[in-house]
Amino acid sequence: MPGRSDAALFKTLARILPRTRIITDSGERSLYDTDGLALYRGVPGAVLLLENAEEVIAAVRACHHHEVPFVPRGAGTGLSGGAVPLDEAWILDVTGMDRIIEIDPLESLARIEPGVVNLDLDRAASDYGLRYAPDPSSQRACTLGGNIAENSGGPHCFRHGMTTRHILALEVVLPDGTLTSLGSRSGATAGPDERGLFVGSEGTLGIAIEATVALIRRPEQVRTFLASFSSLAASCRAVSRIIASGARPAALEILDRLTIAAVEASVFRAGYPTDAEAVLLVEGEGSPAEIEEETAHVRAACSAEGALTFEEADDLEARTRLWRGRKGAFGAMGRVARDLYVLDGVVPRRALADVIEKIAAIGKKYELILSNVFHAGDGNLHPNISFDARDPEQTTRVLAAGAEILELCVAAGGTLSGEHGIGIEKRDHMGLVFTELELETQTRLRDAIDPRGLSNPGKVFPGGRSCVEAGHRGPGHAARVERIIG
Amino acid sequence: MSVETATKSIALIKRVLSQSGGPTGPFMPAGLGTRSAPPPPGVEPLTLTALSGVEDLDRDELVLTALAGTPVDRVAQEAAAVGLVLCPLIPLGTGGTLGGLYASGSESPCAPVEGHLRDAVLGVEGLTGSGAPIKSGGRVVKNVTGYDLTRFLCGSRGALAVITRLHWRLRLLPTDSIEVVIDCPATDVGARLRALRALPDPTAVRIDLNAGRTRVRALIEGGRPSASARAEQLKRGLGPGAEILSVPDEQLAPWLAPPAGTREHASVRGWIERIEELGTQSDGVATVFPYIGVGTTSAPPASAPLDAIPFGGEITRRVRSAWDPEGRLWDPHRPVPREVLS
Amino acid sequence: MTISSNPMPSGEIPGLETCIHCGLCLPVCPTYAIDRRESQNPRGRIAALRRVSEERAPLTPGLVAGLEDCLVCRACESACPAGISMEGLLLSHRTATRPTHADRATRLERWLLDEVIAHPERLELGLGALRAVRGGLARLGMRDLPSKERLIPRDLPDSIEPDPGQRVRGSVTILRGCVTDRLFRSETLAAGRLLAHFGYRVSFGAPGCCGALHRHAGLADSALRLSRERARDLLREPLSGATHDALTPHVIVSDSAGCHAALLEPLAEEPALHDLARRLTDTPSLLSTLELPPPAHPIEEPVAFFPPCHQSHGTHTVSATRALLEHVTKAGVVDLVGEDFCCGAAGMYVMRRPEKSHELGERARERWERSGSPRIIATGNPGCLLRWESLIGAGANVEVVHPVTLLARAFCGPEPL
Ligand SMILES: Cc1cc2nc3c(=O)[nH]c(=O)nc-3n(C[C@H](O)[C@H](O)[C@H](O)COP(=O)(O)OP(=O)(O)OC[C@H]3O[C@@H](n4cnc5c(N)ncnc54)[C@H](O)[C@@H]3O)c2cc1C
Ligand SMILES: Cc1cc2nc3c(=O)[nH]c(=O)nc-3n(C[C@H](O)[C@H](O)[C@H](O)COP(=O)(O)OP(=O)(O)OC[C@H]3O[C@@H](n4cnc5c(N)ncnc54)[C@H](O)[C@@H]3O)c2cc1C
Ligand code: SF4
Ligand code: SF4
Repeated sequence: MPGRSDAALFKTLARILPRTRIITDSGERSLYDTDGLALYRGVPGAVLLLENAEEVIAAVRACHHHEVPFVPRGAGTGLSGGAVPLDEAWILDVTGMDRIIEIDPLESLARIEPGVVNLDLDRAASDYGLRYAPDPSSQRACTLGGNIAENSGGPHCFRHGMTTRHILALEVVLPDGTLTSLGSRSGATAGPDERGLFVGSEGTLGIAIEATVALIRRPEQVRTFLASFSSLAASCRAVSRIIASGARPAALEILDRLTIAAVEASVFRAGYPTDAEAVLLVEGEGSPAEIEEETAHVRAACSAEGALTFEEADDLEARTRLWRGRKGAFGAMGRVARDLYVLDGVVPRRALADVIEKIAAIGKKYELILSNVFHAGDGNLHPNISFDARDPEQTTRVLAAGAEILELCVAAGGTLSGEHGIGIEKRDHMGLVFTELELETQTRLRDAIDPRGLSNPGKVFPGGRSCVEAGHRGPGHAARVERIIG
Repeated sequence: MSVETATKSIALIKRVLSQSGGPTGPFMPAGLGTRSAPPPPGVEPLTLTALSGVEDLDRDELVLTALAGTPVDRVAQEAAAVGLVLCPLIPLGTGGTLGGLYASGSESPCAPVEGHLRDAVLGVEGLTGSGAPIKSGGRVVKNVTGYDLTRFLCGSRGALAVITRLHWRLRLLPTDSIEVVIDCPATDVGARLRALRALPDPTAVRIDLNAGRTRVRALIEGGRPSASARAEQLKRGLGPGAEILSVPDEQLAPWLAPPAGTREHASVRGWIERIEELGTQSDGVATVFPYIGVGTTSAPPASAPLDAIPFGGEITRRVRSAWDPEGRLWDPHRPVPREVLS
Repeated sequence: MTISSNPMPSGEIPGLETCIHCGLCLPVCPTYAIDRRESQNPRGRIAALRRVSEERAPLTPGLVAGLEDCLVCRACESACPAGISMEGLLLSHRTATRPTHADRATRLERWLLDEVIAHPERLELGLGALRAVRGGLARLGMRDLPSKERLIPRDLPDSIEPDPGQRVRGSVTILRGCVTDRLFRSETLAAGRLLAHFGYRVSFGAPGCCGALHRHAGLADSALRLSRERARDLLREPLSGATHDALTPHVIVSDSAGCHAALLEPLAEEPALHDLARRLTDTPSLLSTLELPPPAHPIEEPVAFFPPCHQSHGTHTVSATRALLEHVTKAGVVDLVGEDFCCGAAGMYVMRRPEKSHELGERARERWERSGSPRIIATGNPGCLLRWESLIGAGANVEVVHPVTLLARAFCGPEPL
């Protein structure tokens, strides 16, 4: 085999793509060196802006032929380093594939290209009284391709399930350029659920070029509740009570005291009581009769746990106000320091309060500003660390604290990630959850589908194949990556 | 079964699988045999019914862990004893093991609101054909750590892995349910389904066809006042002639189970056409769950099957050859256009 | 284009650390909508500035293109949870790089701004010349030229007394601006008529540039000097003593969203001028504090409202304008469907980046068409008015107006000639 040849790949692609859609300018390439996490960096060998299925297939085949690794990329909002190119992989940017091909109200589904932005699909569906349920907080910007690759969640996934539940079928280009169809229009699968395997595979099994997604009816009525508590444990117990009552709220979110303080000190001020240790946001949806039932359950649960305050709102404006602090939490934390590290771990619900207390202790130990926002119904934690990535010593402390938090989650019976994926960030922690042999079964699977190891190398699985650079780069870095293509 | 015995049994299966030569397969993992035809010639059954027992049932976290050979009905009984039920609602009383239920990838008619069966399984453990350990997911509801083999192996029919242990989601036991029904000619089914689609989704939708007459049935989980309110809403939406009936507990399983017949897959639109076609035949009989795309009919369709789904594609083929290069697990012939249920 | 080594010392751009790289600004950026490359979106622009200023990476042609193509429409500022100021960042960057990185278009822009527009008498001469050659330029295919009517300014009185019979509410100075004063006098006059109608004594002050365009072009010094000069002019106006109602302070009105926004920035930075900033508003916002009667001559047709970027993201006065338009129209206000992107006028952008500007203009026109092509288009910024006039074209049975023109027509009747 001739081995990797970027120059030959460039020549092949220059015949297919207009020159403006092959980015080789060193400065411009350097803008693709990170994603929403900004802890890890790697500059791509080149960036291809692809606009249709034929181009993706041709590009993947050419990468395969010339043995050049590649990374699919959507909006680059991922929070585990998934879209960061290692080994100077080429970026295959599919944000230009943003057509909603069809919306079929009778089948309650939509067929879309991977670059469609999550919220744009939801808006288009609303014309038919439908919606796309998974709502990551980044939904204004992130693409469905990215959602599929990460199996993204969102506040409303407590009731409606993660992305994978809403993907019916996929058209996928495997890493050697083979085109294959997964799943079916009705969502039924006979035989292994290949669709389910691809969802959450973080770009390591190829590129999704089309998806058929389920749409559900928009709720008739929505009611939002906000309760505050004098202890985090009480707020968590209230959540368990609500679930045990048989209520099926759409969302159950908790903000801890530090987050409340940050939010209330920012432009996202929502009027949350700053003397509370936790606020709980609950959203009920359904028919008016269902909403009344949910309300009774939520009220009873919150008062049984001694809620300090309790508010409810039906109209959009008031609901938006109650949600404002939750939605603005990342932004508010972002204003605390230059960089924000949003962690993602899962624990059984009953362990929530205890784990959060221990997380606070870890924050104290490493002298970091650390706060928690979490999807309480699912036990999905998001400890947020505010820091400055330019300070290597601080970055080291941040990473050490992150690692301890993950160990804590796993020890409590939970796992490494609930929705952000493993990416680069957690690949070296996979050993906390899996034995060597169990990991090998997974890497065998990956190697079977991608024998040359070209699709998003260096992600998900531990291993020293690709060098990762953490934190801020020193001067002169951009010059080092200067290449000789084009 | 104690953890030690389970571990020993699993080690035994592993030994059987990794033995080259000797009395080796290919093997077809087997549960109680309720769903599968006997192994094809040359294929040996690898019976897992001894690997049985509910290892943990957590009322608060709504999750249970059980060995793959545990009978589904026993799992259901243990859950029911603490007021819980397996997700999603499935026709109980049809026998079979939890591993068989999972490996045959049965669809729940309640998928549109509850999710498919694959969405209810939180984690899986097992062995590949060459005896390597498989682990995916766990006991928490949100989990994106590593490949989602939990979903991938759902429906793998013993051809990719031997399933040993499953973590399964539970929910509160529903109290008796309600159905809203309307009788109409087969040619009216399209209009009824369109009307239903404009209303909040019922738990499940079923269409029964018999000699040109059809009954469109929408199931609503009952007990709560809001369920009656929703039933009223559906009744109004379906138009004059719609009725509300109660579904007693013991009637729920038959409601959810497809009767014997030729199994077909089609989208909602495909089913509307198919029912219109069958409606013109004097002996046309069908039971269809249009929202999940499956149904059974009395007669094979005149044309090719509407939406035949073969056993896996390129990905399955590659994984099979990587996990089981020597072919120790059986290879269901593919594609399988139609599945005949006993 | 020459590429020098790092033109800026590390960390010189204030506000650069604010971005948390979340990407929530991507969907609102017009340049990214037409060119899906990272260098063409806000996150990429900030990353480019970080590379260049903090990491001393070379300013490559790709980065230059991205930074120069920014419209400074400020849509990203409204979308950003972390509170970045793209205007501030680009002002610093462009100011630092202009001496070494000017292409022909930017040199011409700079010359026009510093040598012509900032000087009322030269501007007068320039526009006179433009009037002479306008026909020829139009025949050559040049777009976005002001109409012949606009090039013949009407007379403006020094002041207008409140309508007789109205309760006198206070006094207002209307900012005349520079180009605005020459090309948009009808609008200035309409605002005057309207305010007088509701009991304000209106004075017009002297014309002069506020430095808005200079801010975008990276002429920080000129921008600051000009906005200070304007502030000083305004301070010379009788700010309180002369009001007819001692309780109502003297108000300053600017109905050019760009000028209004540009004045707010330096005013906010200088404590001595804070009082002035508090008095600065636009006509619809001022009127919306009053109990307004139903209009005597309501607008019969639906009005397409296109809020200028600097009104949406700078002055934040869109809702007042929209509410008043709703108040005076019978058929209601039509909000254009689709993403609320800049029309591409963006100050001197038309001249500096004609292709991109044109593409954005076409998109804006499509939005209007998809919204049912309402016959009246209202937008409250000079650049946007010229852009829409050019998009619609002369002779079309469509009227492009400033909201104050419509309000004046509705409350005070047809314009006197
Ligand atoms: C402010 C903020 C809030 C967030 N909130 C949430 C949240 O609530 N829940 C949540 O789950 N996540 C959240 N995220 C994380 C992130 O938005 C999601 O992971 C999202 O799905 C990433 O989409 P993207 O288009 O940005 O993908 P990218 O970041 O571009 O890519 C992510 C991964 O997907 C792969 N990929 C992209 N497109 C394709 C394709 N077509 N085919 C195959 N692989 C592909 C990439 O290779 C990469 O590995 C948040 C992020 C931010 C910045
Ligand atoms: C007529 C009928 C219709 C049914 N319809 C539905 C329905 O629509 N929806 C629904 O949810 N349920 C349905 N069921 C119930 C359900 O299918 C059975 O409970 C279950 O699938 C069969 O379990 P078993 O132990 O008999 O499996 P078997 O019949 O023994 O095996 C079924 C398949 O699973 C494989 N398998 C079994 N155990 C393992 C294991 N441990 N590891 C790997 N592979 C294994 C076998 O190789 C075989 O391919 C139906 C049952 C019947 C009888
Ligand atoms: S100011 Fe406008 S053009 Fe410039 S980056 Fe922001 S949104 Fe894009
Ligand atoms: S929204 Fe703000 S913080 Fe986020 S990437 Fe854009 S500029 Fe940066």
